[in-house]
Amino acid sequence: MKNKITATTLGAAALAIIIGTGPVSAAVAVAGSYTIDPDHTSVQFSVSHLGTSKLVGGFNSVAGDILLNPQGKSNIEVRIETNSVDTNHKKRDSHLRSPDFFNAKQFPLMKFVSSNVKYNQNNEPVSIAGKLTLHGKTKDITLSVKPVGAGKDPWGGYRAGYDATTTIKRSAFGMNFMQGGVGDEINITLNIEAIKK
Amino acid sequence: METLLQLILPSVILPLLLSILLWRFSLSNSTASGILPLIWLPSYFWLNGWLPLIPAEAVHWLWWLVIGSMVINLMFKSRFFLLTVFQTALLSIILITVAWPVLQYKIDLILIIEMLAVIFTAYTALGRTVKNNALIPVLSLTICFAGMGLVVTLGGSLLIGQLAGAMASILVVFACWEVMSKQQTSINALRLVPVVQLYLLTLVIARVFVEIPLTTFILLLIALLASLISTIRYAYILTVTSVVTAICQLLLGADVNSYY
Repeated sequence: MKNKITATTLGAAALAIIIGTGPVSAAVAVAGSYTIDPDHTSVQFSVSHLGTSKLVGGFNSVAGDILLNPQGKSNIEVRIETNSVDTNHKKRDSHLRSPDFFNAKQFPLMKFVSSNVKYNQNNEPVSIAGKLTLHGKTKDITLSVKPVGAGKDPWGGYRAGYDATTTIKRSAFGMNFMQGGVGDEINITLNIEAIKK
Repeated sequence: METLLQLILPSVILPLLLSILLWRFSLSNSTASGILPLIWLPSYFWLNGWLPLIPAEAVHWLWWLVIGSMVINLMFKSRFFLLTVFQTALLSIILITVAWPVLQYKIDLILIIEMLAVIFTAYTALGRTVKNNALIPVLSLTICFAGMGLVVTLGGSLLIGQLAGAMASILVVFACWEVMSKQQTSINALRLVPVVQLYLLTLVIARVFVEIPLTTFILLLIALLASLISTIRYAYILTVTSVVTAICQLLLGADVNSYY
């Protein structure tokens, strides 16, 4: 009886994983308004440690809205809670949240707002220029975008996925502490899945 | 090695050298103690990476507090009541400004009570010591700063820990002088008001932004209070007990394995 329940539960879980994570299609995303799906979106960063290796971390709380319109005004806004920084090390995360780095108490939100979205011939966004607000400072940055896929999901919705990358200098945002040990250049990768409204 | 040097140069070696120079070449003890808070500034600017003229973060207010406190000292050095009032007002305004970015998201009653406790401590302790023209044991203050530096570093902020450590390194030269010359103290309370103000603001920043435990915060506050209002002998005992308890509490109560 117990084995039967376990087998059934495992089967259901496997099915849920397959449905939930299976690719919808690789078509071009249609224009329109999207909401970022926080459960299937990740923001990761990597930074040099002592000049010998790369430390990788991420943020667990991401939200945002996307308006794709190749013929008109496009708008992308991504909001990241700095308190959700996660490098798989509790003490280091606590240090990153402190005034030494993100100062998460004073600056709880990191925000990107687009100003110009460039599309390729297939009407896919390939480059997004905009303003990143981090640590109380706002600077212009440009994200390189690579469309991953788009299409209907098993629940009748419509999803689109993008990978976006950029490199920033933390000193430009007033994060100067431990420049020798922790690198100045931060590589950021956003793996975004958005659901059409 | 280079990283280690980068850590100890601004927080230990530079302030220690400047303090020795000040102690060695000052015309008088009074001049030395008057300039003492200023020689903390090179370390502060080094650690912040720049001169924060317009404060954008809590730690950017520290140097404004030191300068402001020294100016008030110069303006009202013989009018003790006004001096206490203005020093307390300066600390209160900066404390509110520093905590406002946090309070604007959520009015935290505990935090407000803690800040009022700091302001009350400042007012009563400073008022009493300045009025009585009392002497502050520098060794006791050195222990306070060193203890706070260690606690905050263990608690999660190396920057604030280093800032407190830099002041401890400056004071330790005068503390050694105090101990070796067998004097009760070498510095008048009035001269140390900016240093005391710096301690209180750094402590609040550590509590609000690094979230050191409330009991640790209270113990470090008691350590300072003991330095200010107790007799010399009891000041040492109370300060050391409070600081050691604060460190032990942090070491025993949390995962503090260093990763730096």
